[in-house]
Amino acid sequence: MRPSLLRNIKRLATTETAPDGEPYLSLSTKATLRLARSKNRKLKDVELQALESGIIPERYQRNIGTLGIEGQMKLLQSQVAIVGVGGLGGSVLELLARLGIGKIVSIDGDSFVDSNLNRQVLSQMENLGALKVKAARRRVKDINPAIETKVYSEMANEENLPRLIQGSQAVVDGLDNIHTRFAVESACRKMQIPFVHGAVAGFAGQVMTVFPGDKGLESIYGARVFSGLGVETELGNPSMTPTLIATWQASEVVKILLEWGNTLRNKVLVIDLREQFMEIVDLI
Amino acid sequence: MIEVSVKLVSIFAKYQRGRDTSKVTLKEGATVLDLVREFGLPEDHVRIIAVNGKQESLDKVLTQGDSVFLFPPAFGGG
Repeated sequence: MRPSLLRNIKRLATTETAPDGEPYLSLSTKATLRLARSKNRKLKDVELQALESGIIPERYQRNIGTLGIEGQMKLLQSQVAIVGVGGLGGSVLELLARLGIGKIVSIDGDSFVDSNLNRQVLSQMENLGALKVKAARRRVKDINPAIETKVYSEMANEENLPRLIQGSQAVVDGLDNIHTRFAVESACRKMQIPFVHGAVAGFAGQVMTVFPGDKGLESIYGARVFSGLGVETELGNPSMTPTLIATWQASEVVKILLEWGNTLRNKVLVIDLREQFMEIVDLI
Repeated sequence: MIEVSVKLVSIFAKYQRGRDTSKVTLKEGATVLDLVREFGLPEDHVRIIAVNGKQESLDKVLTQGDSVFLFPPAFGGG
């Protein structure tokens, strides 16, 4: 608690009216930036101090009805790692940044190529050939500079994962291969971190949340090593499916962080947009 | 004989070949594997199997009115 910071927050707060007609105390983004700069404080600390005093940083105003002030504070104090910031991971990153997850770790050793442009939200003409994690960091800063970012331009593997995901309260699957997925799940299990799996192929995809101790990926991919190619090699990856599955993954992350329950734990959600199909299977 | 329904999506959708998947007739004692073979699905891709919303294995014996879902899990990260 810094009395002078709080005093200044209160001085710059304004009374606004929420969409439901209720008045609330608001701190504009401009005021937040100004205070952080003049008091030499992190933006996130200014936002947390405001929230603690019941003053809502305006950028989170539309979160509060669902998340509550305490929930928003908890998200700002959380750390989430995204392994792979392509189609799924890039969209998850965008959603988590707007939600106000306090620290986002991006892990990906790839650079953007032409064939990413049809779906990967972080890819654009000007960053073709550039590292995906560099675009990830830039995107977060552009959306919400209060968020701390850590980026690793490395391919995740058994050796480096413990170092890369350390300190995260949830890890998101943005990967494109089974082997690394199992490695991430294994690292999460050892480090007692929940893991939110997602994968896409064509108009279809699946989501599952794995807590340490759960059977996890084996229950959907089987224990047998898969000899063939993934179905997406036939179906490709059009733009709608990654964002849909990413949305579900981001929602799972929020529920994990806020301990809301009702996650896809020991369940797999399967969606096929082309067939207008959705099913949740209870896993053994 | 028993009658079951099966939902085929993703790459399995094309194996319907115009058949009515809401009414599939199988012999008494038929298993999920028999159903997989009935439609000629690539067996190695059949990884998620659900009968009436609960996960089951290929050797699960089906009964009249069962609702079966077979899915080839995606690998891709988009």
